Amino acid sequence: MYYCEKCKVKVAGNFEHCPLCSGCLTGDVSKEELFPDIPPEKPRRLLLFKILILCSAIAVSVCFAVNASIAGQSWWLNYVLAGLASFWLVFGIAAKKRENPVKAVLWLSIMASLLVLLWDAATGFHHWSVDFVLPVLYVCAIAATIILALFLCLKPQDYIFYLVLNICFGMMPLILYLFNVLNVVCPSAICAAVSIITMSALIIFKGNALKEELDRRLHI
Amino acid sequence: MNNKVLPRWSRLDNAAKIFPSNSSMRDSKVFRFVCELKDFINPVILQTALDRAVEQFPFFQSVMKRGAFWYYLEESDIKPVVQKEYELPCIPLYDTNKESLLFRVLYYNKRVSVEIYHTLTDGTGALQFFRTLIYYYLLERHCEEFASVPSLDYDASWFQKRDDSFQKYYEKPNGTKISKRKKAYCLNKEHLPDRHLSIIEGKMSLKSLLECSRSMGITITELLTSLFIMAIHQEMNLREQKEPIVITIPVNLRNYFPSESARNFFTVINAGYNFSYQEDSLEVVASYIRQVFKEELKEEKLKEQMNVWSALEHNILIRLLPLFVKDAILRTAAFIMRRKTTASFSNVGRVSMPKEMEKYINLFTAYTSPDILQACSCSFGDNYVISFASPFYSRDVERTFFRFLTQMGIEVEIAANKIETGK
Repeated sequence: MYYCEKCKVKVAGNFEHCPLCSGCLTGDVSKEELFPDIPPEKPRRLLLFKILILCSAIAVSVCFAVNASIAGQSWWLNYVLAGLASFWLVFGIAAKKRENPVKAVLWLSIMASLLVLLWDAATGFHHWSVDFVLPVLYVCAIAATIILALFLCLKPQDYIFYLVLNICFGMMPLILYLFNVLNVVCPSAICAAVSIITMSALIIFKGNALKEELDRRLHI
Repeated sequence: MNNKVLPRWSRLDNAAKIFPSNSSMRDSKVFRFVCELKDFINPVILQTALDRAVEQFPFFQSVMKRGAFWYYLEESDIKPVVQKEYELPCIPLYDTNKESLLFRVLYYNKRVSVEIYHTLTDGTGALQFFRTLIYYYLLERHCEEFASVPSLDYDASWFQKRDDSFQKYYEKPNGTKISKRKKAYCLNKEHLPDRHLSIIEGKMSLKSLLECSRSMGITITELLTSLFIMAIHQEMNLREQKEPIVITIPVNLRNYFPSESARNFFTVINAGYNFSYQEDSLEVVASYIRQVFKEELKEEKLKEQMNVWSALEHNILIRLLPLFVKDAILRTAAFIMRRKTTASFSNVGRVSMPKEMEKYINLFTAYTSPDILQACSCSFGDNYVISFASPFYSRDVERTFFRFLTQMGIEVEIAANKIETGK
């Protein structure tokens, strides 16, 4: 076993220097290592990710250069920036929540509805977001959750809460209708109908699991 | 095993509620127990032993989830699998986006380790589980050598093990306020990269340590705490001397309130020492520490402190805050608390195993993933091990500490993990 003359301690394992004082050691190596050698960590960001960031930077710089150098144009660069920001928000959430696809669907649906509303508001509020996009988005979110649950054979506790939240969002178009915000009613009506049907099915077929899950998630 | 007998989820106990909000890459709130056997580990037998141990501790097979107001534990059917150690020690076990068990079992050469997320249980609970694991391992490994089946001295039903003892012993506090503490001296050194830990284990003879502390008329814990404080003192520059060195010491409440729970049931006491007006000699420090322990470890005082902490979670206004607000508040509170603590010292104490099995075991040790310097002591037979885990490159406090011991004539054997020295 190694020995450090300065610290007067024996040192187990294979060391060039005393782990305490970094001084020289005398003696031999002891038989087996107590701690494994850990290989250095892999870089945590993927190459694809880095390339995408670089592309975004290039796009912004090029657009800025073009936009600034041609006189008499409106600042369309703002749309490029907003578009890139939207892309990164959605992409970031999808990447971060990839281990739990059902959760990812919920987060994406929330984030997408906010972005769509913002885009509509920023471009003169022509109602396309509330009339068409939101109801379609929420129906898709509900459908995606059900399909994921079936295909991944998820247990009720792994999807019910997210499904319920998606259904709650699915009822939003109905509220917008009641407050007379909508110009076109049909998509929202379908969305509300889908939500109500899904909720009923959930209560009828998974009533107990639903109650238990709500108990757990909402305990105070 | 009939899992359906048990309720399928449970609230976090009082102490556990603090941990999820404060877990990060740097401070994962994961601690590790290590047992070094005299023989190389057989992973197949270890897996069998793990399956049997988990059967005894079904509560350990849980995952943590986020509710709207609190985190909670939900029983899971993920099977724990033993792994050859291949990653950094005490890396995070909980990930909001990925369900996983809150403990892992690792082996390397002659060592078996269990890493546990603090939300699940405290040191005592974890040790009960670990002892059960080692017990089943040795039982299987050396089955032909035991004339009769040795028995383990832990007797608790599934329900006793998952009992929340904080709830059991909670009484409304009678209004005494816990005295406020000032900012303590903080070791301000260069940090290792996130997730990395520097570990130093010092093995010594319990007998010689005991002789040494007896000759001074103090206990081993008092001696080691005093030496720890004095070792940290060497790191302080003159301007910092006006701040006290505060050592946090976890106290196992099972020693004061009968409980067989394998969940969290502990509180902490603090021992502060200020070198700007207190003397710098081992005798004085030790007698002061002795006094502090005597004062802080009174049953009424511990009970009151426990109740004050529990009262927070019984407050309806706090309970109604959404989880993300609680997370933010708890994180801020922990940040403030961290500035009031210099280091921590946990005394796991003597680990007992059935007599027939002792000859197969070399030592037990433990350490945790800290954001401050942390020491842990553990004894088995005559092997007394003090392990330091720290997030810093520098190992100067550890060096001074062990040099103190060798100067007192105690033989120390050092084991350490390799950290990148930044060369």
